[in-house]
Amino acid sequence: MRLLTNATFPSRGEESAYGVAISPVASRRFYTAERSWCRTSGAVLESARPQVIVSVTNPMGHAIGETVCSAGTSSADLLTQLFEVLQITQPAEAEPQGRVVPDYEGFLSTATTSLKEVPFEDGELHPVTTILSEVLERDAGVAWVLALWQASKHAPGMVATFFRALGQLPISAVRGWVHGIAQIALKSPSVRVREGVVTALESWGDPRSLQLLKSRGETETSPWLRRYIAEVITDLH
Amino acid sequence: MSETSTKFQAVAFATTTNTPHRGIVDLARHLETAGLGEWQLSLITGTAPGQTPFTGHEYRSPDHRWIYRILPTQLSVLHIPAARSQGPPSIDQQPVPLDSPLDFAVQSARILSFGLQRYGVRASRAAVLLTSLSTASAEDLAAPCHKLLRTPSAFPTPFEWNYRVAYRQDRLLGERQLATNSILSVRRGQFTQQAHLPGHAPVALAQISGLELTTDINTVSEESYSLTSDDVSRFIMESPNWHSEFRDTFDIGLAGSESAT
Repeated sequence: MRLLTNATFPSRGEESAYGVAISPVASRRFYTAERSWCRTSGAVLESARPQVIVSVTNPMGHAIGETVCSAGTSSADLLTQLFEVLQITQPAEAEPQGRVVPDYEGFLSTATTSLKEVPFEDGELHPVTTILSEVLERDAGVAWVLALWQASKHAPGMVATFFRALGQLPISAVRGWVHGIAQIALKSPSVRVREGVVTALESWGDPRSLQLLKSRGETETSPWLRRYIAEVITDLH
Repeated sequence: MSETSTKFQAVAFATTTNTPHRGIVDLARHLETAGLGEWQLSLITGTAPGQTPFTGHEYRSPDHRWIYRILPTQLSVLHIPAARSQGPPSIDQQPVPLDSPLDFAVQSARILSFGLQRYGVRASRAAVLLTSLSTASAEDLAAPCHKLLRTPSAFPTPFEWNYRVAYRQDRLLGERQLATNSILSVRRGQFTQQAHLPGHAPVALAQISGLELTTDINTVSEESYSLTSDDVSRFIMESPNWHSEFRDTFDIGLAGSESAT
């Protein structure tokens, strides 16, 4: 097992450092602090032992607590356990009532399921559009939507629906970041994805969208999509 | 002449010293969903200019190509892109190559923005730097020197030199106007080529003679903006086009090279 030879955990509200050591349960051998930084992931996950003990010491080297982690514990869960040992609590985040999307994980889960399972129907509001609309009103909403794009980009059908749903939002809701991912998606080998992007660019119809359409129109290999792009460009002029 | 992207960096300047620890936990959890494998968290300490000790956090992807640092005055994402794969880019391929400035923009905007939101802070400044390395024969690498610099005729072409220009430009971020610096740096010299293997620290392979080109676009230090996490996302997502346009205004004399953008 390779981990932590040392960790400096800033305590709540002060700058003192805590040492953290991890050891296999069987040997009960603690690693000692030697360096000025630590690695918390990898070691626990790679451990051949079913469980490891994480021991927390104060800056004087005195043990102030320990916790048991299972092999396979992620760094985030390990940190959570360590903070419990250090009696560092995380304040609960109050969420306004009536929201479609309660939190980040919920957003990703709900939105990817909708992208996967609900086909896009022309003239109807896609459920993901509603979700995106709400999320984009939040702080860091753009980051959430970018995360959804990353989570769905392996599946052409989901990406196509993702862009069609984005296309149902006004340009003011997506300006300043959406053209970057549209530019990436227009290079997709999937004509379905490219068509979805073109549809979105058509509905926004802003100068930047027109610029992307013109650029794509010069290199588009699918004859029918090339014709469609040409028609959109004419309409937008 | 061949040119490869060697380093991308995005920075949001914000004060993170009064941050609850839940930010660290949430970020670790968030990074685990980023599809880059199990990130390693390091808690780092150091001494800032003026002898002020500081504590920060650093997350590294298993291959050390992605480094996310949270320091008392800034959050930054550093990426060492992999060499471009042959053939057209494909979003259907596994794994998705995150080696273009636009791909980097998506990932870094997402990570930095989430960090700002979790830490409950706004950024006073934002910056994106893109670096590439061009390699060619000594003769070809001499051309940019003659284009950009005036050197004494008594000497042959220098084997090491620097060139740097900085401009002020107002840029539109949505409806908002930001005062920015646009900086071009060109450096001729020896550079270390590194190998990145999953689970290992980068290994130095060889010294390469080449031309390093960096474009840096940042909001000016004289202005302390109050940039929300979404503003930072927009800044980063717009930056690849800004970099490309800025760089294209220069005739550096890198004949036969393609823009790294």
